[in-house]
Amino acid sequence: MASCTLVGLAAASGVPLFVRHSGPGKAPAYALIGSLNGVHVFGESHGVTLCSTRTQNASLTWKTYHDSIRLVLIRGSEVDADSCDSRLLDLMFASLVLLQGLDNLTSGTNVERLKRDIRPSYLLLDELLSRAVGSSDKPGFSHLTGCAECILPPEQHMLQNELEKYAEGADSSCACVVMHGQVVSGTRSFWSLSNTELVLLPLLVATNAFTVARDVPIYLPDKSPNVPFRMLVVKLTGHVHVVTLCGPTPSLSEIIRLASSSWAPVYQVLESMTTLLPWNIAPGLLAQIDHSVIGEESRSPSLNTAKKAAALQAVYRSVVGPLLQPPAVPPDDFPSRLHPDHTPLESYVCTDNYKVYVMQSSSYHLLVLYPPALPIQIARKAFCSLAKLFPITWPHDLISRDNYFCYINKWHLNMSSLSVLHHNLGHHHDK
Amino acid sequence: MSCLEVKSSSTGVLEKPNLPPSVPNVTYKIFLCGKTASGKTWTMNRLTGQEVAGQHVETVGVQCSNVFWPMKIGNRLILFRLELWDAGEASTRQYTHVLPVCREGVDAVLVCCSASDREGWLDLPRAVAEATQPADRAAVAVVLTRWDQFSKREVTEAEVEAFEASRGVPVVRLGAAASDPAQEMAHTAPTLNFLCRRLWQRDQELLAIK
Repeated sequence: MASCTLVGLAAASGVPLFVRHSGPGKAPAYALIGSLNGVHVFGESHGVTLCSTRTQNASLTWKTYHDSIRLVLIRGSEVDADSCDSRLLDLMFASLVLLQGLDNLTSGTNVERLKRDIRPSYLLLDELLSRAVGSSDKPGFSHLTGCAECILPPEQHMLQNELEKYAEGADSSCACVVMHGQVVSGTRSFWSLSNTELVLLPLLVATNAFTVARDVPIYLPDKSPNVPFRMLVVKLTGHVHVVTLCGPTPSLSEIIRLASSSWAPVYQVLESMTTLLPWNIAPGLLAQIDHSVIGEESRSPSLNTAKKAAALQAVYRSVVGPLLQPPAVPPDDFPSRLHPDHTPLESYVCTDNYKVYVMQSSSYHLLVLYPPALPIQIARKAFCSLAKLFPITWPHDLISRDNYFCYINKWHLNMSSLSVLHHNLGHHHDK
Repeated sequence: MSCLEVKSSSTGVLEKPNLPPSVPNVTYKIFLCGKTASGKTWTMNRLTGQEVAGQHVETVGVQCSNVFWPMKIGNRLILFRLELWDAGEASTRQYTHVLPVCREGVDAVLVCCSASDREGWLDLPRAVAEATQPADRAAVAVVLTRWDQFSKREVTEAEVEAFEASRGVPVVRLGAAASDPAQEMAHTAPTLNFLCRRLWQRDQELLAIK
């Protein structure tokens, strides 16, 4: 497993603010951090901005935000630094803004105070880092895709109604229901949040799942970087949280009372959503999936959940972006002129341990993991039958379909135009 | 009075332990206060049976956790639900809504203090005096955290006893969490029993006044 380190520095003075490390090995020494910053400053003094580089055993990415905070990502792996790393850094800076606010972060004259203020963000930074190295307990893809991870339970419609009612009672327009860091349903104004916010809010809820209720002051990195909102989180069942973004009212005790009374009638529905775990695929659909897809441990004992997730993440990094159009906001350097004559739609990657077949259809990606021995034409055949199970070009009335479906990522989901990315079908098929 | 059974799993607001409906429920609100890094969140995690973080991370905003604790008082089984409220120091200073919501309708205040913090200990009489307002008639207790770290301990047993005797405020001493759940329960059960008993007695006293 590769390791991943994030270093934060005050851009003006070069004083290290924090170092977070995930994976094997130790975090880099103070002297090395100094040199890393030094290299960047040296470039700057010659009118060159150093973005990324690669050494024998690591790839490095630098990024400076608002001329005040510089983040350095050190990824100890054989993978080159790419646009994914740059996006990961953006997410990490946004998680600092989320809890501190942009002005507090960037106007800081007192470095010691800034160091202390940043500490509450460690939970979120560590979660992002452990996702980046694939050691997280709950492998997710939102940090790669830039889209919120979602679950669509069969009773989506009913939960949506309940949520709208609840949000109205809480005097808030922005509310969502989250299960294990994955969005079950959200109000229209929740889906109008930026991609970054949609990725980070569910993660923030998931990083502190043991408390029954929380009232956290948060800043929205894109929509409201300097004016805080109150994020009120109430845990409804052991797995499900309901989140509202509010102004000065209601108080936390009021929201707990409101949540207990308004969600009690649908308790059974909330509880039944656990049947979608851990696959996020309805049991009925699960039975129809082709046997060649790597699923249960018995089919491919060499790949455990973490390895499967890592395999899919590696393929995603290498294929989506360089070859296929990425889902959320295309990065600036997306090579749109690389294949002027045609748009690639399908791709596959073979390694000693697995095969992954990738398909793009309009704005959806589907990635399926197969054992290495399966001939690629069979993999494609199995893939096509699978794609029929999960209609890739979905009708707009997706929500009304019953007994749907799977592990999906969505972005910019508003009720009129659903654009949903779903993938990772073969992923985390462990019991 | 004796404790019967333990239930403090991770439940949401819509759930409670599976006990016969004839068992009465009582709910008490407990506010954990104290200075930064005094172990408020740590105490909350210990009492609710959650894993405690190895590294101190300041709490942002307000958080609330529930403990369900069935106890036999006389011959009656009663299910206590203790709502533990905890607020981060920085948020308390920055936002005016934080403290009122924690203090509203509070039944008991636990003043947390680290046994390795001499200044905090010396400041404790003031902290205890400020912990409650006469109007809310809340029960008060002190929680001394990091009690097992002998080498760093800045408070002596004799001082604690003298404090208890002179102030009439009980002091709960909490050491590190045990890795074995059964042992951990043996650590936290006396504290929870003590809290429930205190709250129950306070109710009886308040009823007698009325």
